[in-house]
Amino acid sequence: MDDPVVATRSLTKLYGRTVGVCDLDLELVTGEVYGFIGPNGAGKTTTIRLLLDLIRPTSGSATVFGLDSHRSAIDIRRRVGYVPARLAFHDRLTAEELFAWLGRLRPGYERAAALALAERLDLDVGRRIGELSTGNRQKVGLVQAFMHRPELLILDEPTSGLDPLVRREFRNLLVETRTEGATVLLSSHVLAEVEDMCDRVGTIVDGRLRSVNSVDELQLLSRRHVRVAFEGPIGPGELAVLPGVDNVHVVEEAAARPDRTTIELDVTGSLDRLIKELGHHTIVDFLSRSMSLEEIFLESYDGAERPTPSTNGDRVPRPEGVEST
Amino acid sequence: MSRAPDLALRFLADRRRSLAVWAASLAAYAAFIVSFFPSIRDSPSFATALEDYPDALKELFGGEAGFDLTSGPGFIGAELYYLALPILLAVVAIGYGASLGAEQESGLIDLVLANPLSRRRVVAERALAIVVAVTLLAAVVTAVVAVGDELVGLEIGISALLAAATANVVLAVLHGLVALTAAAVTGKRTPAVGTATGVFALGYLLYVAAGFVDWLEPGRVLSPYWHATASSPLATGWSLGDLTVLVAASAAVFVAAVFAFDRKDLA
Repeated sequence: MDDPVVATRSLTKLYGRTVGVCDLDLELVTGEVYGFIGPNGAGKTTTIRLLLDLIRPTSGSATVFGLDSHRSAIDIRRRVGYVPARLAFHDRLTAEELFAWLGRLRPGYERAAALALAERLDLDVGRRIGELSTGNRQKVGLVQAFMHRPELLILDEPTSGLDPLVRREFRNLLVETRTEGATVLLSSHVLAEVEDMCDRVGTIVDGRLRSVNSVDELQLLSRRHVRVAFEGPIGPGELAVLPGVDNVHVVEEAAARPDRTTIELDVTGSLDRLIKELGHHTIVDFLSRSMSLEEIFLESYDGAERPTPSTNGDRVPRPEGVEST
Repeated sequence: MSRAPDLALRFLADRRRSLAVWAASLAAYAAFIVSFFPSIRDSPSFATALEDYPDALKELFGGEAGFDLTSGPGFIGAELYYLALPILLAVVAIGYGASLGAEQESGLIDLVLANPLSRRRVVAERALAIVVAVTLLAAVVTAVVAVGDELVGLEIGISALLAAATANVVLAVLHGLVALTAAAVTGKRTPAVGTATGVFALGYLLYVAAGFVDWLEPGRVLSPYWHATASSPLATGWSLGDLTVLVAASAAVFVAAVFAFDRKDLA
């Protein structure tokens, strides 16, 4: 097997007594899209900044392409494309001018490739970056990361602010990039935003890597918040017994309507059983959205019932039992 | 990939409008001062009125030799080279040095450092941008005064003009590098501006106080401002000793900036 593209050994970064990351052993193999998932503040950005030598480890080490992240930082960055979580550009430049300037600083830049990418993402390269919306600034960040065809892409929350169409194009881009042999580290605090793009997913909580899973396994950790309006009265008990369903409660409507009952609940894993159960009732409205990892993890910190996967329970990371340091 | 100083070029290009405004304003100010000189020179009562000023105050305006406001070097020194220009050039240099802090606060430095280039290069090219900008502005002022020298007879001479301008440039660059170092250490703009402004103000106050307080007099060698102006370069020409001190101090501060930024966690 190839040497890992990214490998960290007991990587630790402390800020005084605060833990950035702790004993992190991360490994990315060539040609995979690795989802790096965790709540905000869990240590995703800290890890990424350590890999890029923007910050230095307190202890442990990191290698990229087998090179030490600090000593060989420049050689590493020759082969990396990076989208920072906090996007800042030279706002007076147009996107095209920015790409040209960045292209002078790195190998492999071709103007045509950059413009083609911008075209795909529907980015107007002739406008000043300072005048662009958040979503369009995000596109500028993506184009500059991909435009020189790097071997490793490090993307810190790249999907935030993208509309669905662009997100789909971004996904296509990832697939193509992987086909060409590149490796991708993709961080996000919303699993649902990236799960269809990743080959493997690592979950990081409180600075510690908690588990590495194939995406299929992770489906079990995915949670949805559901709101259903029924015609006529219905008690919550009927739904609470379904596997994977919890936090069931009746919503008090502002304007009481005797002919209607609204129930909210959370579902872990598949929605299938719930939907089939609902089929026995008359449904007025149905709303389902995926919960962010923050919601899932915060919920467990609050001491609420934890999401219990119905199968393979032991193999699935649980939000509870997180050691704090 | 290019081998040009792309970081410095980008930095200056981003500021070309503000630089142009600075240059135009300084040129206009210099022209205004120069055009005033003939009426001062031809008014003898003005010179006698100033003779009663305390020596320390006279020295501040360019030393005994230079204090004669009815002479070209005395007048131009007092009105331009010994206070206004050092301050204005330092303001530009300090702002440029402190920008490294602003770029850490905004995250712009991440975009730059994601490229295959060293942090040393970032610091070196920022220092280069400071030198270029300050030199450019000083050159504009020097050109205006040199023309004025010919037109109204300031009797300064190009060599003394260049000596005074050079002293001002090095003084400003030194304070710009102090700001750059503080920005590298703190990662923030405001403390960088504060530190460098404080160093400038202390240097100035030390020079002034040394003129009034005897025991402080030996301490004025610690004042960058003293090294840049006390020898009255407009009247006496190049003072290589003072310039050497300022250049050496700048070099030391530059090394500190490189050292600090190399070790900085860019959080």
